[in-house]
Amino acid sequence: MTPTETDNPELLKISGRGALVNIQVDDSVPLQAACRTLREFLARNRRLYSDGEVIVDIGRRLLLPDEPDRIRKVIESESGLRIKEFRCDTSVLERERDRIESLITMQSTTAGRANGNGHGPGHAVHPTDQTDDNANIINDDEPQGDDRATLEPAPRAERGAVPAEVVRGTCRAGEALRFQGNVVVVGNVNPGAQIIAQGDILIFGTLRGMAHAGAGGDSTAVILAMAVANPQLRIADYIWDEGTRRPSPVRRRGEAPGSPTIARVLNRTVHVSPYLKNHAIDHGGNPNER
Amino acid sequence: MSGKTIVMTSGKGGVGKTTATANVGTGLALRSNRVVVIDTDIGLRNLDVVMGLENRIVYDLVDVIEGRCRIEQALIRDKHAGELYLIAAAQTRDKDCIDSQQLVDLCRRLEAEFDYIIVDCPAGIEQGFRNAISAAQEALVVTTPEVSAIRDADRVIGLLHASDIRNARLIINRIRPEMVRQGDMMDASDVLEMLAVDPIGLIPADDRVITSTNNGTPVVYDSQSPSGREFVRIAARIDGEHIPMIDPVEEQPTSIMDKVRTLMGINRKASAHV
Repeated sequence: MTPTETDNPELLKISGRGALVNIQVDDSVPLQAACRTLREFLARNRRLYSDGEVIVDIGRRLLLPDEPDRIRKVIESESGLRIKEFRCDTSVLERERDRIESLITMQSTTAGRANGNGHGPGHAVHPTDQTDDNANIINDDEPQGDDRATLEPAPRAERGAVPAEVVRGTCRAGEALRFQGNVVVVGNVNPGAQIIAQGDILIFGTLRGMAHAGAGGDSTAVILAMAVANPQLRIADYIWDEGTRRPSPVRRRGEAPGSPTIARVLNRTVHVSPYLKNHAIDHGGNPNER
Repeated sequence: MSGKTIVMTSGKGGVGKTTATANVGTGLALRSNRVVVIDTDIGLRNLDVVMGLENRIVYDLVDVIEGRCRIEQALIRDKHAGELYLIAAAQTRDKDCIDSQQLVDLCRRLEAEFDYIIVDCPAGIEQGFRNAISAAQEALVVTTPEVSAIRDADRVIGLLHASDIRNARLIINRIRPEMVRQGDMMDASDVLEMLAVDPIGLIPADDRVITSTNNGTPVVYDSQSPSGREFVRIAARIDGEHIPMIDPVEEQPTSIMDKVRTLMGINRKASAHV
């Protein structure tokens, strides 16, 4: 007997018959196994569920955008039930929110950046600060550059408590923004722009430029972006090898703008993966806890 | 009179700054504005050729700035449009022979006499660029739907922001609707999403621009030219008229039946685009 069979009472809890059925899916097993079990169960009991509505409770699980549809297909192809609603444990949403909020505190650096002089609180370096040499867009004479050598990056556990700095607006080609802790960018990072942080980098927008997290040498730092398109990714001293083929900048009509993506170092290599799939679901937890 | 100085810039060369300057300047003059266009591409002057005025140059920008002539002597009146004047670039000098303050002073004096001063900026982001943007209250950034041009436009928009020109508006030039439909060219919304500025014109690629440049007659005079018609609309938008943006990709190629419907006055799609 394998654990995926319906006789395993932990995997699926099915209650109610006739008009309203309640299906509870154990959130510790992979969704694929749960779907298989559900399919087998419904196939065997087709007569019992030939009509009516069903409530699917997914517990503390986070679903990928296409997964509700996969569940729906299983139920509708193997029974006469119609899905009335999906339910979940709201604590999972709160946990996600808390995690993001721990990265964000509203210490905006907009003012430092807006006037373009680069000496504001955000350690922003705008290229116009510099003399005629625009080729070198990272300004090593920038005042904060000295601090960088003397400041050891805080260990991850302590950094969690360090407020992140917030950059609002588009980071454009030629801009190089440096931060000593975590940074949150609310906007796109365009090709030719650089975000360099000693801590984590979180981008609420599309990352098309360069992001360097853990710039002080912390290889546990992560880069998280709502979407990426041909980015350059660096963590500590590791550089992401993006392969040989550059994706076309042309987006097919109706194509989604991209999905949340995380980059982190595993086995001395920068790995890039969809954010939700590998962390919130398969490993059921915080990508920071490795 | 208190005129407005607008810089036409792009970062990358060859995307259509000079053509756009000639056409927007002409378009504004045809709307009864008094307009000066200034070529600041010293050493590589082009605007005079595009406007067909190269044989009329006596004094140029450097002559005015260095005091060898009065402003009026360097203002070359356009052949076609009424109150349109060109100040040509010097051909035998380089960008470093003027500084930003001198150009600011010149533009302030012109603003007293004219409605619009359009400054045609050289490619690049060096001294010539800094001079050209120094006098401007507004900027028009020209790009094409290609990654290299977009990258440079992005850089230029950042530099304009840093110089406190925050109302840059975008001209996307040489859109090829067929390629966009086939998924081989970025469409306007992709470009606008990345550059995060408002558009002021979406110009389809158009062979008639080449002919008109050869003739020295800006394409705005050519009512058959799709790009000319968009330049007319851009001039109107600069002049404060509210004209909705028309994406060349959305504009259906006109079939014979469409023309018949238009003639009969029942083609709503066509009339909406006029």
